[in-house]
Amino acid sequence: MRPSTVDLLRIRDGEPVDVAVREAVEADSALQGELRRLTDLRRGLEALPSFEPPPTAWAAIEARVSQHRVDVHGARGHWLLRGGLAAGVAVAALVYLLQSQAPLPEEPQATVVAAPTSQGAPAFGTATYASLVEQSAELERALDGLGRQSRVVRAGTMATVASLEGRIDAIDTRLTFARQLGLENAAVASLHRQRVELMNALLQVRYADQMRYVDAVSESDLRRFAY
Amino acid sequence: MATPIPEIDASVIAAARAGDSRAHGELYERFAPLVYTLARRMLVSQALAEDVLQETFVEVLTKLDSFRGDAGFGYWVRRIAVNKCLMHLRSSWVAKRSGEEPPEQAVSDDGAARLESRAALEGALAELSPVTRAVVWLHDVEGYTHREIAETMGKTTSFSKSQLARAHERLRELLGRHVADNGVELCAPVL
Repeated sequence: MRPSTVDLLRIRDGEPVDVAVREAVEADSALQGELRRLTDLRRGLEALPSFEPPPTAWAAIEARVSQHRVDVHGARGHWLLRGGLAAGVAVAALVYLLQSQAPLPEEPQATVVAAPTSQGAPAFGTATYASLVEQSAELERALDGLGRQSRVVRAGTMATVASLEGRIDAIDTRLTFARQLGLENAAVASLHRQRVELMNALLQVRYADQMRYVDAVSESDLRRFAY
Repeated sequence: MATPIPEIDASVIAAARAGDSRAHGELYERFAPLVYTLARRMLVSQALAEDVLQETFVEVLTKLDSFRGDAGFGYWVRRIAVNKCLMHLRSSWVAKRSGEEPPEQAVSDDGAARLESRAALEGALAELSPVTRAVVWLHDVEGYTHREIAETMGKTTSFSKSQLARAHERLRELLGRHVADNGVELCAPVL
């Protein structure tokens, strides 16, 4: 009886084997060499180096975790009230300041602010394929409405935006070639769901960035008026 | 080296549960290399590994309450990561992309022979079928038993054992070809 690779792996891993198998290995130098090779190979695999995660990964995770918190609060009904009030004030400020200073596209802000508050996580769970596509398009319009990114962007925000946009890009590529890749409907729907989540996160980040910009401009205006 | 499972202070976990973003960052710093390396080795593709890294940590940080503490925190994180990798392996997307990206050469100051043999081993590992590669990595490097692999993959222990044997036979073939082509010994003292 010639021991199989499964038998040799059992011996290597200290598992029980038939006496006949063990005796066959002990009597055959070629099998002993094979056993050593299997042991060395495992050591070789264990010795392969670790990979360092990409530096931008954390920013994207942080954004998604923050988004999750917002969704959870939204589901509990707090966000609607707080976000609605804050958004109302922010919209007024943003509209006023952007109209008077920055050449951003016309009347985008009402859509912009409405989108984050209306896109809650619970909706994703029950969303149909068509509604996911529609949500995606809606978010895209809201993002277009936001206009360009503010002139002063934090490094962390830039990394987050780049990472989110990169992931959306990757999903778009997969969706474009969905048929050639043989993606099933469920996989395509999952991609659309991910796209909605990423677009939502991107909208949150961009919106927060705009708000910071508005705050900075307001502060500067106040100082100017004070003089 | 295969990333050992790091320890983490219970106070950090408690702070993270309370929503402390600094504690979240600390958990990520501590466990991200483990998750990312696991994903790169199992899936090969950098893009998919990044997906797994992100999905794993979003789940870890948003479901900290479901960590009961019966096993170590690192084992919990690793289990989530392994499940994410297996989800990718089940998708037709990975099947299509398998082997699409060559393994990245890890930076090292080792000698040329060691680098070459390491690269050959990485290349051979990447050439295995996704499921076979997952089994050999989980068993030989992560220390999973055949029973654990079978449970995780929803298969039998015989399946796990035969996949492991198949992996080693295929690796022998691939590495043997490398020796024939390049004359570099792969498994002996170098590794």
